Amino acid sequence: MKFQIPIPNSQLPIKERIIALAVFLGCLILPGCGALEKLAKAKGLDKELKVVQSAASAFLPMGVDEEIEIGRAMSARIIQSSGGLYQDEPLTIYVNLVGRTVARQAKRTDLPDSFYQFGILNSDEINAFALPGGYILITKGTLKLVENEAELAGVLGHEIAHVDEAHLAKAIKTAHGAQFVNDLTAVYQKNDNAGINRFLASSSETGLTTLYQRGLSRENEADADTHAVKYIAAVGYDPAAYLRFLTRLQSLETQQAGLLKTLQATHPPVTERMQVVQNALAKSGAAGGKELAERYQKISQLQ
Amino acid sequence: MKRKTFPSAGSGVRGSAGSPPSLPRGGSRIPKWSWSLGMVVLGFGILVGVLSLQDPVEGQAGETIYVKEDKAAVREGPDEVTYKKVESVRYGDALEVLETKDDWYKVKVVKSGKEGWIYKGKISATKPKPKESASQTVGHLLRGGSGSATTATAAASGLRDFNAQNYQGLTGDFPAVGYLEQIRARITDQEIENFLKEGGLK
Repeated sequence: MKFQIPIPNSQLPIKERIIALAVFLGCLILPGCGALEKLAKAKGLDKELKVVQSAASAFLPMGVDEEIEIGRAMSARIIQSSGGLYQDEPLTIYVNLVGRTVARQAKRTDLPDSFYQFGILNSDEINAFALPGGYILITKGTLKLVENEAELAGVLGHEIAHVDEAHLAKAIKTAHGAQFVNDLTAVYQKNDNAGINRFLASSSETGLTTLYQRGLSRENEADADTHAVKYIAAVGYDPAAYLRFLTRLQSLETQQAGLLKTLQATHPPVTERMQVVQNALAKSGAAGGKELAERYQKISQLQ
Repeated sequence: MKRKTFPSAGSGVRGSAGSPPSLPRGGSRIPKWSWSLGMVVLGFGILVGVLSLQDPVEGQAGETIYVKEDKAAVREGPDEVTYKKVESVRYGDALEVLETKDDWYKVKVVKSGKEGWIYKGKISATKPKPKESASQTVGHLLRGGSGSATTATAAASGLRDFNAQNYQGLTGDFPAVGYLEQIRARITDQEIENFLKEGGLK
């Protein structure tokens, strides 16, 4: 979608535009915004105010709080449409421990590793989702394919990298264009649940289209695979385990393609990803490291 | 319970109290448009003021400086792309300055004795005020919901604490999300340390 920069369409003199801008800036930085907004309205500047607001809010970043809210809303949608959560608390805690361990390698300072949370979807499909704000969901089917903790760390590392680089958050913001910044302005300015929920509903919809149909960009996926190798090597896992997981995934492409339908529709071909990972392994030069197969198999008695 | 501010760039701005500027009365010799121009200048002035509050670090070799971000990396060299992380440091950790180069400080981490380079933007010359650790903040965030108590995150941006009832009208399994948030809040940093140690990881 083309991003449109809103241009004031009324013929108001420059002076009035400055008033509108001043009101907007005032609203952003000062309490008592209501009074200023009323003043703008009294002067018949509603339209002007709106235009300036949406132009100025294009420069507002999506903050971590907005990301967290979108992550919650998207998680709720995905959990509902994937057959709910897989009810195994010890395994869920274990996946969280492995994930948090890897998340310590992430670089964002506005999103501490203790904000990352991991859930298991009760689905046999092979896939995992990284949602804004550190919400990560992995299917039971993926955990069945995984053979040791290092492989799990690699898969979670891939998702953590998507969050750390805010890939989906940026995609949502871009796809929404002017509408998104308008909604975001509403969220920043008003503390009403209905407004926030409208914002969440539309952002989630866009995010889900990306995750289930369009996919993130090839570059984003390559970036996530490269980071996965770096992260797990830094924690002390054998980074080559991630390549072995992808190799097993590739062998399923022909045997059980049904389980990979969504994954294949939204990710580059596995062979291409294996090449990316091989390059990352060669570059990292890390050799050895733990696989921790016993610890993984002891806890994951999956049906 | 004490209220804490969420470490967000926006919170400081919103926290600055003030009243809306009053309009010059009619008949004043000040041109009418000047107040709006003044508002713009005031707006930028406040922004610039807030930005300049970040105290400059002027650590000399031998001085002690402190980590001002929730977490930061101490690296093998003065560049975050080329050099590997030597150690993760956290908010308030004390560092002894060994030398400086451009925007990077070579430091010795006081509690571990390890040496490496840290970026200027992550440190402060003065000891930052103690605050809740990240996991405590999450706990605080999740425990909230006692009526009037707004959580730190909510206070930072006007967004809300997690409460499944907030999401009425939205499709999805929000109680399941709440369950995962509880699991997350239960896992302490110490448990992760133990988990790493048991697995022979770092």
